[in-house]
Amino acid sequence: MPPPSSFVDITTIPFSRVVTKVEFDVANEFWFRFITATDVAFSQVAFTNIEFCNIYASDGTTRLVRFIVRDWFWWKLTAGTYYIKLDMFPVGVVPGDFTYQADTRPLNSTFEEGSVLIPDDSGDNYGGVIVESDGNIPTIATAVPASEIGAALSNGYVLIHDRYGKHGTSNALVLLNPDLTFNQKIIPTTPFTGFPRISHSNTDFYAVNQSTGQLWKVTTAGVCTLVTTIAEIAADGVGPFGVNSDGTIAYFSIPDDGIIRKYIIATDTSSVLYTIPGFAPEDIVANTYDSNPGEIIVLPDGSLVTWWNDFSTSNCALIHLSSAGVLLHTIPFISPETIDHLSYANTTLSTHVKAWIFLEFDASRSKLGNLNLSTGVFDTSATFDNFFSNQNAGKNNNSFGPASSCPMFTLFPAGGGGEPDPTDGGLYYINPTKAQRHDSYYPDVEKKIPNPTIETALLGE
Amino acid sequence: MALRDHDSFVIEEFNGWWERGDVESCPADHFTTALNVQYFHSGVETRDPLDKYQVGLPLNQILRIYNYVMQSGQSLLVLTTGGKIYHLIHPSTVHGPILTIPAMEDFGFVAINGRAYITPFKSYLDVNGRHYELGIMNEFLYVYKGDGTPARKAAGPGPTGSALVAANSATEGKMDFGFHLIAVVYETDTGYLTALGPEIFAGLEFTGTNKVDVSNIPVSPNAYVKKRHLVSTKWIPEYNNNQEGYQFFFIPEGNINNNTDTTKTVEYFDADLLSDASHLLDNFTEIPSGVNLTTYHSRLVIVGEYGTNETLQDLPDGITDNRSLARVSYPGEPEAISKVDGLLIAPLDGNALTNCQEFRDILYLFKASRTFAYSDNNDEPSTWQEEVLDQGVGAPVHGVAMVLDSGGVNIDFLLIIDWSGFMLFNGTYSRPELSWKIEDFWMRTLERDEFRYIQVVNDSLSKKIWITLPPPWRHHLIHADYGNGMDAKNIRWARWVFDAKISSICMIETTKLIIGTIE
Repeated sequence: MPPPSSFVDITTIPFSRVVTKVEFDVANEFWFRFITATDVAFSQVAFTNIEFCNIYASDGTTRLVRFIVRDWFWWKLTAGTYYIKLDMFPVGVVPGDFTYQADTRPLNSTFEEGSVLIPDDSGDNYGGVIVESDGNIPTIATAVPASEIGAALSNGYVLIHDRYGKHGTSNALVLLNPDLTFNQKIIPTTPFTGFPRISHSNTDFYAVNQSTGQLWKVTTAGVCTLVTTIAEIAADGVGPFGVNSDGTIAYFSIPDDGIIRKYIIATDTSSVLYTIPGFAPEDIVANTYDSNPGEIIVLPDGSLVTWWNDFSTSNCALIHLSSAGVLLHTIPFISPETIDHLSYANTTLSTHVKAWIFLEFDASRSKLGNLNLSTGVFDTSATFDNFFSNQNAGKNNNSFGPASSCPMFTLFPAGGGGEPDPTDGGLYYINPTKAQRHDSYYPDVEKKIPNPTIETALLGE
Repeated sequence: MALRDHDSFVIEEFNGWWERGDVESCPADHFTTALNVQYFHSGVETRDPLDKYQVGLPLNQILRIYNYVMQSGQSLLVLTTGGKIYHLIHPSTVHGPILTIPAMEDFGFVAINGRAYITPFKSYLDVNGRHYELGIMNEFLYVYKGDGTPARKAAGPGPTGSALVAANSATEGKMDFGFHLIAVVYETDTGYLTALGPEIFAGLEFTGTNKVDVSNIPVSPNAYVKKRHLVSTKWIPEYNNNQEGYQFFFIPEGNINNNTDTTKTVEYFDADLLSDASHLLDNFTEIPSGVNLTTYHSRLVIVGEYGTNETLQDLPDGITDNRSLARVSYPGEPEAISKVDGLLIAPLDGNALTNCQEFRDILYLFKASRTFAYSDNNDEPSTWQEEVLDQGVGAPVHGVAMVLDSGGVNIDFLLIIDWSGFMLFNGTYSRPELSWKIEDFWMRTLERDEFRYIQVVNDSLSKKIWITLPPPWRHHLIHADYGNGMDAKNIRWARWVFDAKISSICMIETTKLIIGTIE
């Protein structure tokens, strides 16, 4: 089949075109052409009256993909010419006019500090989607493998589990550069056979083998060394896992007992840090919606944050513990809301975590934002529709949404992410009743009011 | 203390900063320097300190702040770099960003019925290297409901899709007979009534004895459409196939209070058709953005439009934008702006409209150095009479004082920033200008091309004024105390300096001065 003789060119992005029933019914199909000079993620949608979209190569014959056009569905296209055919199944006329829309996103482009990475989890290794603080998705990082676990350092490097062997070996670890380009593949001398647990200190990554209990340290240079073997994990497996900022203490739970354990790495000493009250054997610590491992986030002040799922109520609760095991805060999430993943709000902040909350039973909608651990309130957040399968498609009027699974961790490509620098500005007010007559600036900067002075022409200062 | 051969001199009053003429011309009761001080009665003291406003993760890189008065209370709209607008409900609660437009350098704002109307704009450079501000090309007016959901374009598209169908019902009804057209209007969650649709209206010869069944009523893909209304012509004796050439009216009982039903049976006489819907055909579905917004006689006014692909068509040679155009909505319908006659055109002198303000029942439009007055004659805005009020005084984009936590009118005057000084306007510009005592500072040090950075806030309860300054003075505010009188002689000036670069100010909670800083 040669290219169609009649088509409409997609000339501007975002693109929108009403296709009338009269136009479509002439041949029971309607064609567009899309020409791209660069590799892009391309998507299209028509909410009513049309069912299927088919993308063809430049010959107009080779069909690359066919899918329902009710949701935005993103497909990587290399530079070139493509033909898009809209049709019905079975072939026939449409019930009425419809509006066809198309949009693109760049691949491997820049993103802002504090964005989160949500990888795809399917075998086609589509890539990782970047979500900015407002829910906007600026780009897809194509080197990111499909995965359920990973971590990011404050210097921007990422270590992620390569579940399906995108970079050549299933269950290897993959080190990504701060711009999320591929750095190298890392295979411990005793390779992982399933999901490892991955965490990090300020400078290095740590990955624990849930079968053998072996704890590996991975540097940003790609050096992988065995640190120790944690006997409890070797014996009973592991739930969530975290490492403190200087890499001296590991925290973890093992399935079924609701205990957060503290493990001194240098001495191989394990102790009970905190036992979750009311925890029943069927409950679980830090488990995701689709039963993948969650996190223990160790904050800069040494406190740690995780959550547990109460299966008797279907509710879950975030718990914030001091390094001594004192419960500092607990934040309940009432079903159908549930925590899916936690990450760092920012690399030096101990008052907040970034939380990804599923809002509905089917996990189709979620909220991502910075959660204040003291108030239990999101200081900033964005709500968006998830996509169930791969390709990170969006629903309805949201032209992009992350998959409703997979890990989530915060990225600091510029190596920053610390507390707001006073040179970044902020919101202030004049406070006539302030006890200390100094100017206060973010984060905790006190300055004398600069040189209050009056001078007269007669008397001088 | 009296030195030898010197007599003591008692200063009874401290009357503020003086920077006019040489130093020795400074009166004895004025200061050649008044830095970081404020005035009380006859005294002077160190100014009040600065405090952090936000709890938790603060917003930073602030470009503009406004006090947004919702029906449930006061809050802030905050623009940060990157073109992101956040909504601060409370110092510890932030929504958003509720709007992200990367090209947005600044925005205009007005609150109407608790909703925020937002117009993104930016600064452009002319061929002489001078700045001017206009709405962003191909950007639009947005409406935000104050509930944390993203702002959306104000107005909205009308119904589309396949042809509307009407048929005489099997049910008897009291109707007129003859040919009628029927169409559909969407109503959004902000009360906006869209244009008529779908593309093909229903046409039917009424029997006069049967109700009319309307079907294939379009359903909007937009969740913000909450209702639909059926509209109809009266009897058309001879239909000429120009479906938009007739007058349409809302059908009583023709409301569909959802966005799902696709059928409706109606019954009406032509005499029941009273509420005209024809003007909806001429309204913008997307309203071009400008630089400033205000209200006048319950109308929304937007000025300083660059234009869109739609509004930039067929401009005269050499004209590249709509900089002298003001758009005015229908009364009580802020999103309903007629493309045909909902506009005012200020004199085409090459300068852009910068500001707009209602005062004493008159709408004033400002350019950088021009002031124009328009009066509502209860007809379409395009018929309003224009009066050129002042050919030498105008206002920059943030140069009309915000008073307390509301708009710019205070008691019986406006406070306006002009190149020549800080002016009191009570129908005419009063002279000498209020900044007369610091005229040298104003005229010699403030760069006219940077007046877009100047913003002024008036706390009429405490009788204090604050003014932000353009580069290189952005670490400074000018403070004025008019407790002794709002005139050039009695106003007391001071200069405040901070360890942060100030980008914007506003008042909240009546007298709390909020300061946004960019670095």
